Amino acid sequence: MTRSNPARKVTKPLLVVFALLVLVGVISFFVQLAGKHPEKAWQAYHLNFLLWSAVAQGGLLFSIVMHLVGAKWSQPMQRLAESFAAFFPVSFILFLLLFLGKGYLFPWLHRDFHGQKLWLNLPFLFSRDLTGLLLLYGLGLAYLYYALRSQLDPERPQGKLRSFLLRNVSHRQEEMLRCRKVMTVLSVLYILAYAIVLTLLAFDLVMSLEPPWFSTLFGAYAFAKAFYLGLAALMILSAIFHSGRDGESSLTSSHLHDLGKLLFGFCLVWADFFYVQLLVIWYGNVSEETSYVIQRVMLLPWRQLAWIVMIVGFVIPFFILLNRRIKSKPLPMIILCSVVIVCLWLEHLLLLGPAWNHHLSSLPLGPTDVLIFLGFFGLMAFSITYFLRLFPEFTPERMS
Amino acid sequence: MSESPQLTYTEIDRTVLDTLSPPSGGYWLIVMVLILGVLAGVACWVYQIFIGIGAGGQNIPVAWGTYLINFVFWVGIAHSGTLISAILYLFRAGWRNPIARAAETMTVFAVSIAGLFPFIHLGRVWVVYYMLPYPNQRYLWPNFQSPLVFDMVAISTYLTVSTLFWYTGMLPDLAVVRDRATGFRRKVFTVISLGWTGKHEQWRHYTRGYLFFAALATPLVISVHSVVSWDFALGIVPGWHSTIFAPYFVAGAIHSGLAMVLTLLIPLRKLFHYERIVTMRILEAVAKTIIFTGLIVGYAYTVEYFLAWYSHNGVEMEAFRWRALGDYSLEFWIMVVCNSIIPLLFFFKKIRTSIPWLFGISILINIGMWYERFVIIIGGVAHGFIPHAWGLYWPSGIEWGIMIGSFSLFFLFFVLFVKHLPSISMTEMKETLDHGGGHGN
Repeated sequence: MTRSNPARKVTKPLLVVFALLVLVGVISFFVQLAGKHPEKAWQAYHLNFLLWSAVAQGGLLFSIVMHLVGAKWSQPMQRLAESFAAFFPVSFILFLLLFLGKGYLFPWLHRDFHGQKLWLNLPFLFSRDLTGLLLLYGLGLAYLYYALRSQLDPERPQGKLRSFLLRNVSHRQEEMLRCRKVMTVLSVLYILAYAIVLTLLAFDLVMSLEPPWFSTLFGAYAFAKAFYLGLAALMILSAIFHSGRDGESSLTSSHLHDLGKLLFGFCLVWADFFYVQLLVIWYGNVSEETSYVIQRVMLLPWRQLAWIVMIVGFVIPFFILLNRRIKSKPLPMIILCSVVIVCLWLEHLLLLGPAWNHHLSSLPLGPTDVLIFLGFFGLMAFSITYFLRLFPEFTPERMS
Repeated sequence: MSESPQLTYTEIDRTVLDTLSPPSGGYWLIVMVLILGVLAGVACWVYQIFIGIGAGGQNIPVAWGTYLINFVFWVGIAHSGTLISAILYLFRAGWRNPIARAAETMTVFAVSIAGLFPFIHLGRVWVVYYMLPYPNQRYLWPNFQSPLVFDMVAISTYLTVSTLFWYTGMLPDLAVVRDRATGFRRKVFTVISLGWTGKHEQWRHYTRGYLFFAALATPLVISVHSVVSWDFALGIVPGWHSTIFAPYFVAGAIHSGLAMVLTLLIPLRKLFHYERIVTMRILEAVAKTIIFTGLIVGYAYTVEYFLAWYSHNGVEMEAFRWRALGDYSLEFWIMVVCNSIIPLLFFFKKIRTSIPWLFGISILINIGMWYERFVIIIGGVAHGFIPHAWGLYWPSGIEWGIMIGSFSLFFLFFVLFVKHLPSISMTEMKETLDHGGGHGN
């Protein structure tokens, strides 16, 4: 490899930039908290916690699914996808902090919904979600541990962390095979936990905000969306590591093309799940169900947001991704996937916003929301960059 | 195909073409038995036409009986054929190549059988054209907002596309049979192979056409069973009106279809000596996919129960309580155990690599999926909103007869197919030998 690792060259300034973004996010959060509307700070926090955690959970899922089905085409991207697990500890701490904002987040907190209190009470809600996240992240990090053990180069200078990860490895090939077997078991468990925990989080942290309303597809909609998000984020990361010329990196245009097809597929799955819920509710025309949809799709100010989400999250990616060549071009893919992530951030606002804000004349979106979003983005980007700096073997240029 | 590195082009041709040799007496005996089954079904249907639809066990409130159950069951069976032939093709899963032909054939036959049931359920079958969505002079306009009209459009499209896909995929193989046949058989295969000569240009069109068919069939397979699920979910009947129905029905359909693939392939593999083509690794891959679809179905059962409880809606809660503990509780538990619990046994390598276990579990899943439709279709309306309108249903002898007829017809079609057309794609097998994936890679 004659070309030096670009990640290595730029990581330091990048880490500083991302740390600054985090700082901006934290300051904006506290400024909002100290202002007239402290609830807006916590609501933005809640929304971004859900969005960025879903990106990480869905991102790692790519590697896990590819490992489980024995896919060979996705190797360079699998390693990159594993770097999303670096956000798991951050996401877990963010969830713990979410508890502090409880008073601003759950409209059902001081109301009785005829028996629903058994499920909708704060201690139970936080303890079950905490257990779920511990389980999901524990499995994800265990998978990462074995992935690192099987991939790390023992010839590289050993730090404390590397020594720990590579302890008792005498025969590399044997250890690789053993790790792959354990990873297979962990993959199955992670997928199960992914479906169950993301359903639980969707019910508890999104659906329950309007307690009389429920939809049986809501959990599956949330985890399909998380995978769509994860694929979009992975596409950005892959496009960054794509050298622009095949042959210089193990990540080539055809990898981007294949990932683009998968992204296209999950763009359709997300839209399908959205449509399937909408159709059943619209046709059934039961007021307990339709009120939720009417508020978000037909009434101002949310109506415009619903159209934006539909067009930007589905229609535009659908038509762009139909094109064969564009899927293998890094820059258009970075732009498209960034737009998709921002759009799904707005989609979270569409789901959660009306439950928090009643009788609004305009969308509750201000500069603080954008800055908090950027702060969370900084956290995610910092975690991934730091991880790839620690383990350059996981970047496509250095992959063995 | 790491298990059989010594498999050659000649051996593939010989193994597959041997299956088309003149059949034995045993084969014709099976055909006769199946024809008798079909005749029994036809007789029951004719009886019903003379007596009226009341010959079935349908009543008020259960107006949809086994005719609808069998309709949904057969549409479901069809789905895994498309999963294997189209979706796995797009995913470049090379293991689908040896079984794609049999699965796709199963799709075409299963959709055809499913399509019979709306006719049977109609009573006066000669007025079936009323369902066609065209304006007419009788001032009878089909209700375009009815999911039954969606159904008709979706299923006829599905039948057309899957038949064309199946036939297009078979063209090079039909030419192989033609080139080796003599006499009248050669004449027939000359006509049905549509002048295939294997020119470069033809192969180019063939591979592109196959890819486009796969890309078209994939959304179709999702849409068809989503539309079937809306026959129920768009109503407001407790237990039916559920947003998860569309993806849950699609997964359930693939679950039952994969089980049927095993049920059909295991005897076929034994009788036609396909062991070196349909290897244990392939059966294992089907079993692993069944675990996945079984988990999705189990997820849907659980979420429905949880949200019925979470809603604290009295009618919803009662519908689901009754489903597990009421008059059809046995059917419910057969459904749960066969569809979600027994498939988990495939987690054990010993079980998913044992032919008797694979065959036994595939049959149990077929039974479980039939009962799933029973529980949903009958259970929903039997125990609706108002207690005085509750009622029970059990199929009449005529319905059982028609059901036996439908199963016999399906197996008859399949038995005739395997002896007259190549039941494994020689083309795709040869491609698998070369680069382990589907064509066009």
